[in-house]
Amino acid sequence: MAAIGCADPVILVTRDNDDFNIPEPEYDEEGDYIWSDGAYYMSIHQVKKPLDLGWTLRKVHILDEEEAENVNSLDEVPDSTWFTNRHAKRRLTAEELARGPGTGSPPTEPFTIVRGKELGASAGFVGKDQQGRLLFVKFDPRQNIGMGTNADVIGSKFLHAAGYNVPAYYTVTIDPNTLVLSPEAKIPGKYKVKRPMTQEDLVSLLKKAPKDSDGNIIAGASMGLPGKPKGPFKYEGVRADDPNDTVLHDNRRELRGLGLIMAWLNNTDARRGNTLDMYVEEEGRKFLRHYIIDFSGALGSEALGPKQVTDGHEYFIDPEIISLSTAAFGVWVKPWEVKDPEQFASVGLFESETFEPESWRGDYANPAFEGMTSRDAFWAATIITSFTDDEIKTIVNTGYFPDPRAGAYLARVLGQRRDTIGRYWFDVERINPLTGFSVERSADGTNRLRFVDLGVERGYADKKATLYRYRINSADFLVTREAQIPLPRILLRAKVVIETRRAPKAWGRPVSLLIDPVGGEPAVVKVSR
Amino acid sequence: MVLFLLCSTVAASKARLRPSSDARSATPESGPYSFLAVGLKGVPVFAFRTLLITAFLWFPATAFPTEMDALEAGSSDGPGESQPEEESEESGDIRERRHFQSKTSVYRVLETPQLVLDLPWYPIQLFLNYSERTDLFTRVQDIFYFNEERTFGWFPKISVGGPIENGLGLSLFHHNLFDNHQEADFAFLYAGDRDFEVKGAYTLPPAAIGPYRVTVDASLFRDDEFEVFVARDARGRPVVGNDTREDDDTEYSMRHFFSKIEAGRRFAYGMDLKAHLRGEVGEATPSGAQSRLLLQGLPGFDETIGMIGGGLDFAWDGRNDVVRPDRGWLLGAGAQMSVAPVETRKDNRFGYGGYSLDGQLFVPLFAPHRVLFFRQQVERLEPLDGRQIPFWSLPILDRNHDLRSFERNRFQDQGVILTNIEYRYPIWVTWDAFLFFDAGQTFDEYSDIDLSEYRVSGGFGVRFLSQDKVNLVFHVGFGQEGPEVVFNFGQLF
Repeated sequence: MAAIGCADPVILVTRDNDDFNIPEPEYDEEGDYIWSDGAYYMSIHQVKKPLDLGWTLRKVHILDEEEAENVNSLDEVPDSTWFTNRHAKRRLTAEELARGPGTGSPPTEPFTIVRGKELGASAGFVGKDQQGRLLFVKFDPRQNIGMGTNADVIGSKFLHAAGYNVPAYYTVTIDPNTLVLSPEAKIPGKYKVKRPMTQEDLVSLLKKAPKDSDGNIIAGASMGLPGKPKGPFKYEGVRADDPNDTVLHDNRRELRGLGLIMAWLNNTDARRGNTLDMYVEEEGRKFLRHYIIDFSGALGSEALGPKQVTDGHEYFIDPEIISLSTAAFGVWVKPWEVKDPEQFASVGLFESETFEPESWRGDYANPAFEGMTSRDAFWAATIITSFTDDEIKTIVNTGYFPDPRAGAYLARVLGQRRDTIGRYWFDVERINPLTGFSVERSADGTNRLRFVDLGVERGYADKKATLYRYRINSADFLVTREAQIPLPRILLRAKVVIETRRAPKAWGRPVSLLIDPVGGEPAVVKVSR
Repeated sequence: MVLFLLCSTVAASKARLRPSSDARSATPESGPYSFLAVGLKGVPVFAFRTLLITAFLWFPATAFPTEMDALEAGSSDGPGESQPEEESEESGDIRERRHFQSKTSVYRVLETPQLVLDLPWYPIQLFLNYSERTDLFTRVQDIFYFNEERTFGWFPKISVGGPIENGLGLSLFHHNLFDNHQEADFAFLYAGDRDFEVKGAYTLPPAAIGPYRVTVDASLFRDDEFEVFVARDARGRPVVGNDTREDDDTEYSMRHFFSKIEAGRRFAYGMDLKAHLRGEVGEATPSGAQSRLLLQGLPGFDETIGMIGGGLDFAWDGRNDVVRPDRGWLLGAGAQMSVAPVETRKDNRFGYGGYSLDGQLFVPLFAPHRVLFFRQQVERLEPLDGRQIPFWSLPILDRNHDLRSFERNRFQDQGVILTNIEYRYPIWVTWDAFLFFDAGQTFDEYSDIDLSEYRVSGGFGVRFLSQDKVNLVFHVGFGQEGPEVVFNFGQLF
């Protein structure tokens, strides 16, 4: 916390300067390998933890959690090549939410196949549309038309609205008779050796594709990203050949908080291989921009089929759960074992009854997600709960649902999961959910500190049962019911501590503010939770 | 010495961690000792700081990024703008000008011990990446298949504790002969010296011939150390079964040829009816003087017997899942007869008839995949008039290793009765753990059946069976003759 009376002003960073011109890095293919990535995070990463003495000491509460290192003095994430503050900061319109990251028109037929799909589990191809734009086309399982496509389309739009860099995804209808096979097209053949793609390959590919009643293929297409791909990024460490990359990825708030957003969307495939660094040129500078890609493992989809009941609750190989299950002799019935079955084929297995944000897990461990602190989670919860029911419906309605009830169901479950997150992370015993601090000077010259109680504003707490206790500098604590605090008329610098209480519970964790003159007017310059 | 170390480390830390000239900060957390001030609770701070500073001296200065505080980038009233750069910057320049950098901290120091695991992981990672890049797993699999459809191929065969104990061999198979789903399997196992086993089977499955199924199979094995448990009664006659002790095992040399042709039909509701004809030739001879002495008098010992016979089998499969049943039943009943058409060299006449009953019940419990499993097996052979039953044809109490904790083939007699109870529960995906209780006995007469004669065992195990019949079982059993640990892995033949 700021020392009162210190001569140096606290500086606010709203835009990170991580876009210096850098030499073109090599393509880092290490992240394209699924086996080693999965094997590492399912085994070595888990075994390494006790050897990390910091982890051990944090577990026994001798050391505090390690806080994120790329937050500004208001405990916010500045805009950067990783993240851009959007919906939670300035509300996107319904049109913007529905459009998502797409800046142009959807892909248009005829499509030309330029190569077979190499990475990932789903069948598909890489092609170009009529305008020559590169696209990556994936097919859903035939018994779940729309499931994986919806996960991509809807998941990407939520993440874009949240602030992440994602490709644009579209649901496309393809007339198979208009598909053109480029003579240069290659496909991974036997033993993954590339060979020319033949008409036979095309026929075999189209057999796997789900079709509507008119015989048209229903598929998902993602647009190629600007720039040159340079491989996935890790969720820990830094990229050695990127001088702009100076914050450990597992200490970046936007990556840590991404864990909670992925929990909301139930994207259990948030691994290194589903990220991508692109070497772009903007405003005369060349640097890496960092993308999250491939959301076919989100919502109720597991790419090749609906999710399993264990998805979101257990790692693929989860020694902790296996040990507990074995030792409990079956008496412990995991709540997710008795989930309701899949409701709609275009949604897959997606529900909210067994959702516990604090114990959500992907297919295997993610070091950035594991490093999430209460402050990181609060930041992410602020984003998640910024989506209203109508806004969720707006995004969901851009999906493909042969059964219209499916879309309504999906939107409802997303709303319920959002509320579960809000209730959990806006609990004052975990963190003080006050935000939006501002100092206003009224006409009579009095100053007031105003704030927003997200717990109340978003309906997770009763305003009538809420009290705020505050102290300015060394004065005694005062109590108010209002989301505003009177400040001294003449205000040079002040330290304000606020606690929140939801009766009949006790006072929760404090939030500390530093108020300093900025341009002659008092403003909140530092927030500490 | 300690004082010198203390002073020098404090001085060194001050020199190393001096803030950069253009950094301004109002918070102690971002000052020179910030990395040490982070979150130390209840620890003698100064001593701990000194220890860490001392540790720092051993790390190259370039190992960590230099500490830097947030720089001014704009007012709090609006978004800040980064300074445009026309040319590529030196890495060091960029690092120094970045707003945010990971700080050297106690956390970075404390995590270094985990790096020891990165070294052994590296070659594993290289191998896995190579395997994925070159599709090595598929290439290795293809060694065992002769066609793209993978219906024709071979596998190495390893047997630990089978009919001929431990052996190595191979199996050949074709599961789509003539493109008509006809199946042929052949297996050969060699166990050293003159011991071997050969098996072959040819099947016309229902897919090829409607609801009918026809199988022809044959096997031949030779084992000069075949084991049997034989004791002597009060009159000195050889006895097998419940009256034997753990140390009554004796070896003999066994050669056996068996062939069978079976035809069956699948009816509604999971019912199967099969009829078979079979023939076999068995020769049990002494493997040494001791075995001649101990086994003398056992019916069928030290002579060659050829038998023909036939039987009927009925099965009713009411399980909800063949691989991992949660509920249902599996009932089986069979009747058979075998007779040696001619007397042996020793003028002995052999022939028997018998029946077998096998009932399995799967009872679902309070949650998914928690199952109580019951099994009751009874098998009985009766000698035909004036004939005997070759001792090597007698029913075995744990033919399929159903009396866990006892040595395999431990008990055999004219009749066997066995009860198995298991509690199965899931531990991961399709893996189940189970607690088991086995109890059974062999008997000569039905009046010999007595709970006090039962051999019991109990224990714990883990089981996995895949859709393509890859079986893995591990169990630990405890019984009256000591504990036993068993591990089985392979493809069910």
